[in-house]
Amino acid sequence: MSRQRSAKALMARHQYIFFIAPAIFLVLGFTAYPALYGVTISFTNMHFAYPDFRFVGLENYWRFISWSDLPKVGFNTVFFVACVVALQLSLGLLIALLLNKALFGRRLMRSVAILPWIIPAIIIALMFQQLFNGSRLGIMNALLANFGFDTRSWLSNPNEAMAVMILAVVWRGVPLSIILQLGGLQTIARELYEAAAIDGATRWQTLRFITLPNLKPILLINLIMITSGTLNHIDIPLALTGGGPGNSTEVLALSLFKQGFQSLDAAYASTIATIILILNLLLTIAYLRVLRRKDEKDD
Amino acid sequence: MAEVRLSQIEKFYGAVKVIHGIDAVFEDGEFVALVGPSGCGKSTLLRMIAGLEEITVGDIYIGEKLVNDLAPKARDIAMVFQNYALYPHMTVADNMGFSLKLSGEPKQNRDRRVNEVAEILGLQDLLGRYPRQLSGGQRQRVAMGRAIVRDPQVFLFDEPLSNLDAKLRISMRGEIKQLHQRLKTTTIFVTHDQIEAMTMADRIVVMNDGRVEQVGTPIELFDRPKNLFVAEFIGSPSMNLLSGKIEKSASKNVFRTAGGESLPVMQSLSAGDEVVYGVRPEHLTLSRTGVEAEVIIVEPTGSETQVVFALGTEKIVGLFRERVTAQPGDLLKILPDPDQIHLFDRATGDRL
Repeated sequence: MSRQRSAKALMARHQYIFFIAPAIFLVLGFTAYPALYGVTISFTNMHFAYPDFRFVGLENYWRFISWSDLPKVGFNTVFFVACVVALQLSLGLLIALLLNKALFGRRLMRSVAILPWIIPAIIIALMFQQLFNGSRLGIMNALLANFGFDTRSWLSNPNEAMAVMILAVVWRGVPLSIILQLGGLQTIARELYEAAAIDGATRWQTLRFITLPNLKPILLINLIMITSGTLNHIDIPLALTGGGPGNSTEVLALSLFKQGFQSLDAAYASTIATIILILNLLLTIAYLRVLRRKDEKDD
Repeated sequence: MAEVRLSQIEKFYGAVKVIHGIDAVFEDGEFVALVGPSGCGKSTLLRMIAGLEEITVGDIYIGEKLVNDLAPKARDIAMVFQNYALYPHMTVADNMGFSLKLSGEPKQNRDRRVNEVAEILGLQDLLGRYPRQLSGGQRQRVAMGRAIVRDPQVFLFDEPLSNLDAKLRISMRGEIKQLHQRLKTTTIFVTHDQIEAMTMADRIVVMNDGRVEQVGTPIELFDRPKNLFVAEFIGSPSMNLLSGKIEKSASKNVFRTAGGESLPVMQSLSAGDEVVYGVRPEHLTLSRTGVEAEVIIVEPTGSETQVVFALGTEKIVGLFRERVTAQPGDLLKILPDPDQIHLFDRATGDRL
């Protein structure tokens, strides 16, 4: 009797497990397991064209390190991620600051600003391809020609292709930054601004000493999201430039796709994926260390 | 320190007028409380003085300077907000020294000034802490410290005690008053709590519905309320207000309640006047010559006893120094002190 009762009590106390178990299984089954399985594949010679595979140790990692295109692709990746992070974060902040002001038409502008985010990435890539088409049919070239400038073969020029790719990714990502940062800005109490106004802060000082420090947690989340999102981003580079011209816009995620789905080299693709995963983790840890150092000291 | 002068101040939000032509002068070094019910416009008025709210019509002078178009920072004022508005990411010392930092004060001077003020407020040990690591009372003191550091001409307090528990509120009341006695800076203190206003202020401005009902010292407001609103608002428990008529009875004027009870009046009024008869609970006495009233509730507090009576159809509250041992349902005779009676015109609400 008492055992029955204690079992019942135990059930009652731990019944939350039944509610969270499905979510845990989903996360473990569809995220953690594939990720870990991917890591194990990177230590094999699995190839989609061959049925058998075996353990090869760190061979794929040596292959990656000695890959002749690594310096170029590595540089492209760092440049691409750094530019996207800097532009998306700062443009997001700038627009969020504007939308946070009591300006006329603010509600409409908020809705409009969010639109690019709901357009599929592939469509955005195709739109930018049309915009920056090298012929006179490209909208940018038509504009240049209208104003009497020479037309350009945007996507055939390595630097310009990279710039267009960054622009497309930023254009798509800025709305998310706006939503996040606008939400963050709206949580900052009006009294803090009023206190700063009475304390004698100029607009710039208010931004520097009140807005940014209070927005820091949101900026940190946004920074991590943009970094990992861009590092993993594949749709726009693939559909817009395909890594070209040559390999001038090839980034690690694109190499991964090419190895896995064009060369069918599952093991090598998994190696690149593992390296991207490690980069993501390292960058996130670095951000947390740098940006939260002061807070940790406080508590 | 400076005098603050308000001249014909009006405030509109769209078409809605919330402040209706306020004139007031707050003397140099004076502690003035703006008091009134929620929504009466007292905080709006304070925020207009601070420069946080635009003035629609009228002029505000701080000292000799017209400040209508000056930014808050140029008005030489400091403000303590209801929720303190401490910068959460700054330490107590940084919060207090922020205004000096913005004005380009060298760090050495800044630290010295912050330490001086911290000493006044007993904050020396908390200078390295963050607002989230402080109790409500400590936060309140830091907010005051931030205001004092600037050595402004005027202190503005916007209901600064309303977030504190009752006990702390009483002790902070004393601290703020003491601080004012020490610094002698012109202080404008907004509160909806008339006890706060009565205990702290040199003068009180009673506001209602965007208008000033009466300005005076706490005792003036208590003893001679200008109208029914002030009579009811000032004093706790509130003044008893009974509607009725002045009648002549045996060559003497008496007040006859709607229920027919007669109460003494000393004023020479004409019989037949419709009035509101006001008597404070503490000005009722138990007397054999009084009128009979039925006890409804007895609330002893130790130092005094509050008794709610039914006087005919009306309820009337008495506050007695002596211990009242009556039970609900008992009949007691109560007599208002004839020298402490307030009569108001029933139609206009003005004091007669």
